[in-house]
Amino acid sequence: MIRQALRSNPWSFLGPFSTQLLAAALVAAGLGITTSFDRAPLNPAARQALTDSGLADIAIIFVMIAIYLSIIIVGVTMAATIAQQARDIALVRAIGATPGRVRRSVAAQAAIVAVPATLLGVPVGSLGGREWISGVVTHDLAPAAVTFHPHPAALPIALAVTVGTSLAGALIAAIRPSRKRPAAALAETAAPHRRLGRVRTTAGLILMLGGTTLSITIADLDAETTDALGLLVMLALCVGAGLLGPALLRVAAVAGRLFGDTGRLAGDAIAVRAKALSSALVPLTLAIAFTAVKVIILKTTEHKTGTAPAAADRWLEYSGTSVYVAFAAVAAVNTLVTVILSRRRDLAVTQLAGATRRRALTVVVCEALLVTATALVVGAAVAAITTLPLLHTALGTWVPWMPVGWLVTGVLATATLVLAGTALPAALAMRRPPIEVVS
Amino acid sequence: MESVLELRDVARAFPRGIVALRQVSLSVGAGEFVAVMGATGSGKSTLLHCAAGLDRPTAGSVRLAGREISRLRERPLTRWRRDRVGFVFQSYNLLSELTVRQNLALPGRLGGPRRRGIDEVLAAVGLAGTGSRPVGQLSGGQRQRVAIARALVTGPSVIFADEPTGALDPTTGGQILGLLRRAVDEQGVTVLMVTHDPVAAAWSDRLVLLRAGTVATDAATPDAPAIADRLRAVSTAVAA
Repeated sequence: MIRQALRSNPWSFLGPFSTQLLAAALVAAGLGITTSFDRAPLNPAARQALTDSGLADIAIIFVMIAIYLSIIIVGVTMAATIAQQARDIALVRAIGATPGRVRRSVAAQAAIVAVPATLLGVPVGSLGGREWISGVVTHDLAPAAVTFHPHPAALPIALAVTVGTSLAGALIAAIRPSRKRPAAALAETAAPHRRLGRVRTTAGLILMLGGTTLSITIADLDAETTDALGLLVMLALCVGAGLLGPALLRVAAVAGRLFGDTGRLAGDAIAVRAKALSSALVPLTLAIAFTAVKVIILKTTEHKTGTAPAAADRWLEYSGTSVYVAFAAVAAVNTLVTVILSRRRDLAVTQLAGATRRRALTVVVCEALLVTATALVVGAAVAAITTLPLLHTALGTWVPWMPVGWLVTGVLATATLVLAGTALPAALAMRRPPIEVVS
Repeated sequence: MESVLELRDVARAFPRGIVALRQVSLSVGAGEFVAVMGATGSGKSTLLHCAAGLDRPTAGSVRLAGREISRLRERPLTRWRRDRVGFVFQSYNLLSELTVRQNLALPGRLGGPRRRGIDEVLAAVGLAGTGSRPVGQLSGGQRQRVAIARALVTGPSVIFADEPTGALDPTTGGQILGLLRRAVDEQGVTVLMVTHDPVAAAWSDRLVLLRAGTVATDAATPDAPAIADRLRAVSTAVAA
């Protein structure tokens, strides 16, 4: 069954593989950076200065965020991959596999993908960490005596993170198909149920409300605590939005109807795939929210106080953010590609029903734009809820400020990303004649 | 009689020297119900694909609804197909996650003609009142009715049917063939159907038997037992 899964749709494992690789790289880089600061041959005064600069703390936060993000993103991509196998799982259940056997096979898939990804990711992370350390030194944020030292246990720790997170994601995704009676499972994969589970909706609402409440509460605390808790607010909101993602996308689908026949077709397609697409919504929202929060805080501070932060500080802030954003972007594109590739047959059927290749592609582009718009709205809302208290405590203002150029760049970057994950693979998939695809 | 579909010396060869069709000529008039039969590998599916503009012949010409389509570029060809042709496949080829109504609205939303109302066509295939159900929840016979409704909704000149009853039991299959027969008799649609089932072929007006990529016989359709005999004769001739 493992072999069948790996062989029948090898591309669906690209998502988990690349996100695990990046997760391992992030963890290895973060660990290496902390080790490098610890082992640097410094005199007591220089050591004290380094501790005061808070750089080592930043490195620890780096590792923590990497682990948080891995839990969310690796979990989501692995879950999306397993959800794609619902039909295969139903089939092997029908021919006698026990639920436990299905779960073991799913767990094995998670591990099989995680191990090579981690083995590749750790050296990549070490290279990245080395670059970062040399960046810190050239920006005069640390003395030249600080050189890169990889963490001795980077590999086992990274393995624990990637295997752990993908196991969790895979097993959660396998709960429903492995428990169902085979006959019911087969019927469901023929006509997947579209309603959102009550548990999922409740959890999503609790996270959204909890995040918002926390955000309001911390608005009156001191700046340092607010900063630390701000991240928690953002993660809670993003995961909450992800759980409510299908509902949010269905709203977008209704909005699509305003754009004529093409919009209607795109809306219909999004509505039936809302669940799969919402796996892409989580990393997209995370990427947008992460960037927006950083940019808004830096730019509003600049705007309000009239002074720009030192170039070195800015480099520090943006280098961290860009790494997380790249991580989330890779995950989003992967999930979108997986969704599109699983639709090859549907695209062919649309062509047989009379769509020219261009027309079918227009529908896919329209879908991409609807997903982009949803991600932007949700990401902006998450960023607003997260930053407002931070701005209030640090600057005493409730009004965020973001230069138009940044805003436009952000919107275009998101649209490009989503199009790269949808229209591009769709165009490639439609190069084969439709009758060959369906027969 | 005005011909709706005209194949002249059509040949189709695939890479590695496989020849599926050699010099097939066939003229089908408006309102004719033609069954194409033959052993596996005799080229019947290739014939249907070339006639419907889903595949390009390597030689020869295909006129479909008054237009030469074998040299047409992909976009105008797709549009021509969309406006003049309906398809019914063995594997239904519906979007199973969408509702019946959404599937029937598909050709229109893709720019195709909306010559007939969705409700009218649904009633005609005996599916009135199922419009809001997802196709994935329907039985095989119901799905094939939806496929026929989708083929009819654009008011096509020709319907191409590739083993439309291949996945259905005899009773359900008979109902599906009855629907195709009625489209021919009442709407004047032309049907070209590929099948390996003599009982299904017996619903047609004219029977074309293929053997190794050529037309072996082409005559008025006899009854089912006679079709089975003819089919056997053609197949053993190949084996010998």
